[in-house]
Amino acid sequence: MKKTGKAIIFFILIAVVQWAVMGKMIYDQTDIRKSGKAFLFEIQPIDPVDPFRGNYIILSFKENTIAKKDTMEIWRNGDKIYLALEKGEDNMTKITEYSATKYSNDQDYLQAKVDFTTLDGALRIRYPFNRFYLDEERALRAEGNFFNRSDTSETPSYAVVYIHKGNASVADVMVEGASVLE
Amino acid sequence: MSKPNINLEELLKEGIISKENADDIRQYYQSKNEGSSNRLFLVFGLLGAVLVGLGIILIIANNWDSFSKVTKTVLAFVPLVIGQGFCTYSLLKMPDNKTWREAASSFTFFAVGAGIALISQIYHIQGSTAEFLLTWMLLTLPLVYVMNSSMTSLLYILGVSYYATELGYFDYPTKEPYLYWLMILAIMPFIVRLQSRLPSSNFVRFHHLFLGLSLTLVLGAFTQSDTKLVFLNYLGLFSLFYLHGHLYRDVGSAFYRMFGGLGAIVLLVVLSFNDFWNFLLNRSVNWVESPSEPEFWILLIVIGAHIFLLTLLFLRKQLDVYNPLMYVYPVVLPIYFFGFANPGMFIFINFMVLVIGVLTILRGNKENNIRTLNFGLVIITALVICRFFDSDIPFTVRGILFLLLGGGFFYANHRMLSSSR
Repeated sequence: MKKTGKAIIFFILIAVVQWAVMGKMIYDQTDIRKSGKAFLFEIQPIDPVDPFRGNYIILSFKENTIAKKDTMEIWRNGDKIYLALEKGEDNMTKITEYSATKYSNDQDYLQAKVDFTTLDGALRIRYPFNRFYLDEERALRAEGNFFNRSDTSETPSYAVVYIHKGNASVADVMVEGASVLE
Repeated sequence: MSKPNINLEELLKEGIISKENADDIRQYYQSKNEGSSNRLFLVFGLLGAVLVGLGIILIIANNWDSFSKVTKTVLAFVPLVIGQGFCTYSLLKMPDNKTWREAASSFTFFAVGAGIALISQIYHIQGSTAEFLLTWMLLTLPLVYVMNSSMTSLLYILGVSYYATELGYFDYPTKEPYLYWLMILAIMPFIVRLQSRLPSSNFVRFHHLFLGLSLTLVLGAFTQSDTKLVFLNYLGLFSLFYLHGHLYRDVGSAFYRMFGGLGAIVLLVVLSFNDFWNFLLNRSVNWVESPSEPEFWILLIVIGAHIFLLTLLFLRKQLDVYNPLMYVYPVVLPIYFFGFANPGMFIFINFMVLVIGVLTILRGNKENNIRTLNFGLVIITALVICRFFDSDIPFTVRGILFLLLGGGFFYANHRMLSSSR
């Protein structure tokens, strides 16, 4: 009986940890959306499937490279990089500056990774977000809408991303001015 | 329930057995019957739990965008609550019921995965499949110990292997899944305890099978862009399986001998092609830079393990000189390194495979074991078939060689079968 008691206590601990980890995942995301600021990233969506988490669209971003300040700087692939962000004239997010260390909180910044260094010495950025989960029908429609838009289209397609203290939470994806969730 | 085919009352009356004996016999047959019906319950219970768990994951993967965020979040926790409820119930009310423990624990295993998946989906949490699997496995590892569940342990090994292959082969960019070793180490105490308590159970057998396959699958993930040592390391792994299967005689040893022996032979046949050695010839081991590569460390570990196992086999007088598969690795090791600088090493390997084949046939003949005998014949046949790919022997000669080999099969099997009659 004593053994059962111990097992129960351990089991309750495990259950609490299982809840806590999932709760923390939710909390982190809601916190970014509550305290963070929304940024728009111009995108190109496509549509793969994750075996566990279902359909999603992959987000690849137009603003994905930044010129090195000094050509002698060495960045390895996968290095952590902090990006200072600003809204451009078209409301889309631009990377204004980068750093290997965190910025102060009065500067909007995002923690990302260096994907690789391009041949002309610029840094290709890997954003910490690249997927947006959608059911299959909507994912296909979003992809179709994106590829069928006219070449002269003035409405950009973009992801709405909340950013708070360097962390990001993707809230919505707009294709041709309409949310893919609609 | 089947009754023993003897009349206990009669034996008791005739004074052949005492009353205690009769009671013992009755109890024995009763418990034996309970055992088999319990096993059936266990199998069906587990099958049910695994299927329901997988079903939930698949339903979740469908994206339920018509529900509100709150509804979806609540739904994410429902399977987990149900699973945890079952686990608590089985711990409190039936701590000795294996079927309940195993089924509740396996269900909870899937419920955790489903919960994380659903939350990731609802809140668009980023991260690769490898990261998802890592979180899932870490959250379910303690379940194995508290619920004492062998099935959950097997599922955990599967999940950890999936994680390592995702990270090592499919992720971008790929990384060596070093955490895999720690995670396998974390489950070892459970496996060791299981083996000492129920040494001949099916669960132990499955654990050996899963561990062997998992190691084989994951070893290749510890390879950087240069793959010059990977063949040697795999040969070492198979050879270790084989030696282990000879050293420890338990339910897993037959699998290790079969799997290790077969793996080593397949690799040797690959190494018997000259093309392989041409690929190796233009490379070299850089002894200054190599120590930073994972392949190099695996090489050292494999060599160390061989010294250990071979010494043990020698001390226990289990080292069989006529079984070449026992020392195939120590023989190939210098040849392999010699091959970095010298052409023509494939000749040694061909000779070796031939010797292994012949010795295996002789051993099968001596031990009157038709399986070993045919294994030897298969080795030689494989070697002959492969040599026909890269040589220009005329068709007639090839034909005659195959006729001889086929005849050899018939003759050897016929002789053994008729002598055993």
